[in-house]
Amino acid sequence: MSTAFVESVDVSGGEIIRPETTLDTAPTDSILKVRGLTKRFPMPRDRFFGPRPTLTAVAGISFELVAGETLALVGESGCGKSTVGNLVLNLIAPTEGTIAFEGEDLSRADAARWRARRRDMQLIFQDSGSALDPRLTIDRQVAEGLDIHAIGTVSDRLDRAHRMLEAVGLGGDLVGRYPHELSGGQQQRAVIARALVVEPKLVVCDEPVAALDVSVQAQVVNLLQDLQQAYGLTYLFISHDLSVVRHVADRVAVMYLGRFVEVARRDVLFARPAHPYSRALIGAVPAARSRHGRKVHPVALAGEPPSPMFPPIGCALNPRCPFATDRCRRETPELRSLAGGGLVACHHAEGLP
Amino acid sequence: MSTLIDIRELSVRIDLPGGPAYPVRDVSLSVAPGETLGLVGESGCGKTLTCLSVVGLLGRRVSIDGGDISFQGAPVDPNDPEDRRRRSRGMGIIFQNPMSCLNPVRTLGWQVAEAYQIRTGESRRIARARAVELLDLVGIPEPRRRAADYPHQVSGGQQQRAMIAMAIAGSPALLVADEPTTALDVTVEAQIVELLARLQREIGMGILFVTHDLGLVAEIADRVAVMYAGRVVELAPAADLFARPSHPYTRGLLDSLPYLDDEVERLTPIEGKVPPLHAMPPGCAFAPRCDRASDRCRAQPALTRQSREPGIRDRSVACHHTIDKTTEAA
Repeated sequence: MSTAFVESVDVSGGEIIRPETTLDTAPTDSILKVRGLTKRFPMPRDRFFGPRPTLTAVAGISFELVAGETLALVGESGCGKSTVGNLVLNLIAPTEGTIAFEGEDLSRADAARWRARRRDMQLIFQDSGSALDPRLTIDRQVAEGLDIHAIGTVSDRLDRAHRMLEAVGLGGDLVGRYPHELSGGQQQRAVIARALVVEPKLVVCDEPVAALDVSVQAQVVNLLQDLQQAYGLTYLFISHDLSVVRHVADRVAVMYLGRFVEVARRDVLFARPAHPYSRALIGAVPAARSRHGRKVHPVALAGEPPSPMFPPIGCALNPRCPFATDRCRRETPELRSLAGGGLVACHHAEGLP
Repeated sequence: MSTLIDIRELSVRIDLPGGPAYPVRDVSLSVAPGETLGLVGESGCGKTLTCLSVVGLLGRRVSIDGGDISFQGAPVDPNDPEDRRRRSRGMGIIFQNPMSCLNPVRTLGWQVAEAYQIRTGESRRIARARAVELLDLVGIPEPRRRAADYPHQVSGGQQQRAMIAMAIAGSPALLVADEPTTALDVTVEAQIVELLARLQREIGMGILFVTHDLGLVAEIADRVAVMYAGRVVELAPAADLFARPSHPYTRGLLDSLPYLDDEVERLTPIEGKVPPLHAMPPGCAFAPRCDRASDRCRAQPALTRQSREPGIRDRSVACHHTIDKTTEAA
């Protein structure tokens, strides 16, 4: 009896979770492990006594984040990339799946435990205009995070906030301003300062530069990279802009209708995208956004993404994909390793023209 | 080459509580039949107000303060209802956000038919039939059934296609497209851009294409005008503009973009920000952010002039210290 007990403890306690779906590109020291993450939203009934339809926003995705790296999630609107970001921070609760942060399984953590852990896991929003409190000066809202997590002494907190604002380029008399007195780029800097003042380890950046003009976008992209270097941050970088992703990411996961269709190191993905959808996305970037012309032969997809409430049977891309066969219309492809590195969910990835 | 629309030294005034502001100043542009003129710039540079001046949709407290616009050879009179009808017959416009521009209580077919009727004066029955053909032309599947749908029943991409169908109904001579693909996903954007190019070939219309996306404008425009703080700072054939920008702002914009095949560690942003409307510097508006700026730039704005550089034609630029071969070598 006692031996059996010891054995079971050994298995559950000593095992480093490394299931078959482990992403080969993230080998060691992961600070975040996500397994089988699924989110289904119940939708309103069509008819009064009808069944309640569900929308599967995220369908069983798994990934790991290594400390200090940037994993980008790319895809078109409605593909579930922002939902993944919200699930990772438990801003919405997953339907299935586990999230382990620094080895601690947080899927059964209560609200108090999550609040404590969020000191290490912060979010940078896209729309800085609505993410900031219009009635608080920016140094007060940056200090608010320190209040919540009871970091430092009360008198010390405003000083820390000022130092953080200085670090994001909002020093001097800007610290006492209200959000409406700042430009879009400055507001985004304030949002970044507010996320980073509590010294997080993981930062989920949800379209952090999408709302900015290009000249300011470059400033904020540089700032995010400098801060990553300075504080050793790990980024989950959610974006639809492939040229920005190409610039900031170490690895890229391409999402379509709630699933990963391809995960690869940045250079591999942009040089040789294996999935037809990745090829369509990269090929749709105008040629002028490459200095030496387009390298990826574009794939033209028919139509528009289908509703996630009624995903196609088989591969989700099959109604739009020019290479789809009968197998694609029957069988959902699983994420599998490719010889050239990376993972792909396509039956025909090797044989495409 | 005849011009379709000719804008001469257009200035637009907004009456604000603190006094008037001039978000568009001395803008001169023209579009020829069958040509696509790209108008690029960052938010607030005046590109949308330039468009709205062309189609005559400036709001209250916003007015044309100076300059002339002529359409198909005849000057435009903003206060004449007959002239307004001439413009609505000859111009189509596509806005950025289709959901807020389509009428929510009318079907797509009704709205396209209305636009067709206004431009051609045909009967309601003919316009209805033509609306279905137009929805088919812009690539909406099952056009007969979709014509009976209301805007909220179709996706954003389909709404944008319906708006394009309205804009091209009755084959207007000029299409004004204000950020027509910004709200769309890239794979759908590629389809819409392809559609506009095909329609232009078939109908031969001129397009004024407004966007903030430099990559996109390189793809579709014949000539490109770059606006900064209300002025056109550079105007050149698209290929020349991207290969050899002449204005420091144009070069700054191109340098600040991340490229798909770049190996740089850091991007090169333009430092600082656009000056606010009520505090425009007396000289060149870009001078505070420009590394080539001199005392002359800070004292007086640069006038638009033709490029003097040998081998470059049709390029005009407003800068005291343009980037050309001679200065690059120095």
